[in-house]
Amino acid sequence: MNYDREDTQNSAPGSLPAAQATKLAAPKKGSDAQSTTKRLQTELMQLMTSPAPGISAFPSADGNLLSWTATIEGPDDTPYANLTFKLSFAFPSNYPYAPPTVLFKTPIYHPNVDFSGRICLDILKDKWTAAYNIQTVLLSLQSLLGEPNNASPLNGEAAELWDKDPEEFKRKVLARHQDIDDE
Amino acid sequence: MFSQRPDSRFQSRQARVFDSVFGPVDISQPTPVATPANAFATSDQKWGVLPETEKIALRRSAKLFTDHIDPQPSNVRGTADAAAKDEGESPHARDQVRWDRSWHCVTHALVLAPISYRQVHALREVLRPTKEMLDASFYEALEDVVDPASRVPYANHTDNIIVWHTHQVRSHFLNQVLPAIVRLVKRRDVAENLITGCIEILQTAHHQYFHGLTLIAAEMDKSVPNLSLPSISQFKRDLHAVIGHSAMEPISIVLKTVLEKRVSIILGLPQSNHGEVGIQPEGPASEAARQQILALVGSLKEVGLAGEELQVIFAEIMNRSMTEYISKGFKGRWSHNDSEDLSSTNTGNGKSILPRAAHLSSPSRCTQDLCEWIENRYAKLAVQIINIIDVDTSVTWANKEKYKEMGIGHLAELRISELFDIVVNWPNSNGALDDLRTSITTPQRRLHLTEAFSKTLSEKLLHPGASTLQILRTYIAMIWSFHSLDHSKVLLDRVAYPLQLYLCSREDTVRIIITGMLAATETDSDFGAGPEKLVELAQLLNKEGQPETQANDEELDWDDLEWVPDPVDAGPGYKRSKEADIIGTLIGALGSQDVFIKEFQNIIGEHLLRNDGAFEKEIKVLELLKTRFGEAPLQACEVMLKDIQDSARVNSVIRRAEALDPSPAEIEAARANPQMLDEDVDPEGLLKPSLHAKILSRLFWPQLQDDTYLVPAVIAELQEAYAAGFETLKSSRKLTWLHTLGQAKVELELEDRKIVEEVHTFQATVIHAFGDPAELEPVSRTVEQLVDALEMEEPLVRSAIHFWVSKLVLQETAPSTYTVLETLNSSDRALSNALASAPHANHEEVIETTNEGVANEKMQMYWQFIQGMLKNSSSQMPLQQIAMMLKMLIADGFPCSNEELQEFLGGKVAEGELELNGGKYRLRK
Repeated sequence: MNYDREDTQNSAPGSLPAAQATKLAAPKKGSDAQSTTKRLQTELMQLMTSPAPGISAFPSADGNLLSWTATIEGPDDTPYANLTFKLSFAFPSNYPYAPPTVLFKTPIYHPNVDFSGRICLDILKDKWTAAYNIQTVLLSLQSLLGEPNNASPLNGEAAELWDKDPEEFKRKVLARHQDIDDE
Repeated sequence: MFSQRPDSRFQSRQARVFDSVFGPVDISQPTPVATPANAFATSDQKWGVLPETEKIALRRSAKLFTDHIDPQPSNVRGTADAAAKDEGESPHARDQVRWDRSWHCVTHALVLAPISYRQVHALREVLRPTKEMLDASFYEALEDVVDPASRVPYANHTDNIIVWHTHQVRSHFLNQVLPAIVRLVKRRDVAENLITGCIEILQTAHHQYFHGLTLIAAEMDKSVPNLSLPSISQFKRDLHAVIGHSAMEPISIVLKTVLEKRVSIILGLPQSNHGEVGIQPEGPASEAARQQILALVGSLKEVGLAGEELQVIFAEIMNRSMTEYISKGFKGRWSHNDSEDLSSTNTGNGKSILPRAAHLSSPSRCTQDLCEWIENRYAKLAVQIINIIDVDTSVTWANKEKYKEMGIGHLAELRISELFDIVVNWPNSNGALDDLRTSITTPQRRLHLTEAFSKTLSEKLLHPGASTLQILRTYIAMIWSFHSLDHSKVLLDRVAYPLQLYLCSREDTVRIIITGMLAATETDSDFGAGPEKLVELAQLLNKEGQPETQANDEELDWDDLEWVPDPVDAGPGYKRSKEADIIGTLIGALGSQDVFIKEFQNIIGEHLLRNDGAFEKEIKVLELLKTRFGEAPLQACEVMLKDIQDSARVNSVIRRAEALDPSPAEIEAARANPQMLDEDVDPEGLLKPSLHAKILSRLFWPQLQDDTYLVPAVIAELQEAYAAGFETLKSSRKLTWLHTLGQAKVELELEDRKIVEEVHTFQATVIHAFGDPAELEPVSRTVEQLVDALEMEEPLVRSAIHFWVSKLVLQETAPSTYTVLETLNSSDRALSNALASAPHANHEEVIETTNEGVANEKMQMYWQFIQGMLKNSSSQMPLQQIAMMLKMLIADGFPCSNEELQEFLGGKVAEGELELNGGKYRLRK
């Protein structure tokens, strides 16, 4: 996993600089590693006991709770139907007071995702609050697949094609998609 | 001397060769008086004793004769010298011959006769040589021998008669007396007779030996008084050394038996073959034995057997008898009620008889008994015997103290070895604990105690064969016992750690403790009456006030006269506490706070749902836990309690609002109806069915199992009405019904009887399904029908049916088909009556099935985890890694073993959800 992109991945045009985002979280900085772990454990339990259809997430195989892998299934009536996408979550040590760093690991052709998998989604940046959790993030991303925000695209071509040529868009999506195997 | 020496044949042959050349030596032949001496004996030669040296001497005699002529006679020689010269004879030769003759005469008279031990007693009769046998010539000769310097001044080769006698005695003893003793001991006889025989032999030999000596000594003393004393004492010492070293060995076993017997009689130890228990008081028998043993030891001393060996034997016996006394007298006697009468006799004297080291606390009965015994009997005997054996050693007061301390040490040893049983028998073993408290006085002993106890504990208790309840009981007994041993808890902490560790590994520990605390005390008031629950805890909870919180101030309490310093072996984290505080210790020791609270929540939830009432006990336990863990962690429990209390109020409000209660007018009407029985007039029974609800705040309750099924339509209607009422009362909230958790009171009217049962809701639902008023025939249903109709899971249906079958309401008419039993035959009726008197027979079973349901649900959740893991983390994983991840990630811990997990995963593989490839599991696509 590439952590050096952590600061940049969520920065989209018009978003707050990273420094400012951390300042927002500053008042609640008192949280320690243990409460983060506990929170993540609780979230995991929640995900397992009441799973939402089409999404799942789990800590990485080395047992590090701060790094997770998630899977999203493409919603049915979208160009992404029947495709699955893997994502990586990297949680900061002050989670949930700062958003996790989320990246698409599976190559995806989408207006709000660039070719290195970085995502432009407001709740992962300035709109983040501690009330969000992994499940809500995944649900948002799932809905983003069906309803891209073409107003602030990271992939201009995709944004254009989404509106103009759905056929071509679908073709590009399928061409770009390839299942990755983690081993 | 007992075995054939390997070279003895060679020696005898050698002797024959010498004899053929020199002629056999006749040692009884004195030098002929007429023959001039042509041969002088060498200075160290002894007549008649050592033929071997004699022969050598004879061979050399010619040469020696020339060597030993003194060319210059000295002037100091007296008149005899001159007289000898006058006679024209060599004075040297004359004196030498005279000396030789005298020597021969004396030794011949004094020589000890070999004893023929067929008649051992012959030895005793006459002392040889008798007075009659001795004539003037003997005394003349004796004078020469004793004082050669003045009588035969020119004799070059003179000898010391005492040395000769010593030598002769030694060899006589070894060759004659000792074999006699050995032969005697080998005889089959009573040990006492044997020992007396031995002593007699020895005494006789003694007399014999000293008889010869006294003759010599008398002669010596004639010239100079007391000249003989050093020689005699030297002789005595030599003789005793010989006897002590050689005679002790063959007789030691016999001697030991005799001494042991006497000592045990004197000390009042019960004889093992008599089967008596307890210590005999002093009496004539012991006094007689005392006299006997003193006489015996006295005579042993006399014959020279009171050496080191005897002391060792005696010490061993005394040591053994102390151990014996303690084990016979105190083993297994842990309470002193049975010997109360003895205790009062000796407490009168003001000064304590305990050794100083044991003065720390009030003495226990056993230690007191023991010390009395040591003081009055043991030490007395030891003193008497030691005084006889050795005059130099005297037994002082300090020795007596030492004996007592030894005795107490032995007692401690005994009690430590019994400690586990003592603990288990608490509180009937107070006496034994007192003993231990008095006797464990040193840190070493304390350490030994804890080590020994830990060992027995892990051997006897900490194994899968012991139930958790049993372990907990023992733990409680341990807390009590060790608290009475040592208020500081240091000892307890040392032994309890492995126990705590083990208890933590048992899943049901916390549950047992909490159910114990919540158990009803009223029903069984005496200890140990509740075999399934730790009723002790509930009783303690009722008795105890709040635990002492100001324990920390104790150091500053200057008025505390009971203050003692911390024990020397206290650890650094030591905290003093005077209370035994069973509950505190249990709660504190077992598992983490979270586990405890969680379990408490579960159990209290169960209680709250199952029962109605004030829940005083639950509140009390809750308060106790709050003082221990603080308010915050127990908030959920608070809310749960409050829920229940609120529910009662809300329930009545809603029922009134929704007109679920019978109106006053209806009650009045019912009362007026003469056909109604009194119990039916109860407002509850008037409107049927009627519904009450407990409203729980979902977030604060532990996860509750909810099997969904269709409740009977009438109930569903009521529920709807109730929910509507609730929603008007609390506008923003909604009710979700948990069907399985309720209780139902069911009245069944069958053709010949009426049954009223308090049952679980699912049981009520199932029986309701049989109650179809449209059918005239007894209704019958199959299990499948019920499962379909009620949308209830099959195990639950079966469990309910089983319940009703046991109540004789249903019967199985065909496999999986059940029919209502409208009329009972006579035998069934008897059974029914019996059942009525013993209700809730299979209550447990129902609980069990529901528990199983919960377990299944858990497994389902773990399956989610495993799926998530294989989907996201890594597409294929070995069993070990899956288990590790589960253990790490599930906050409550993953309870299954690897084997259980493997079995579970194996099931999933069989179901086709997983595939196993090269030891790794992966999801089937």
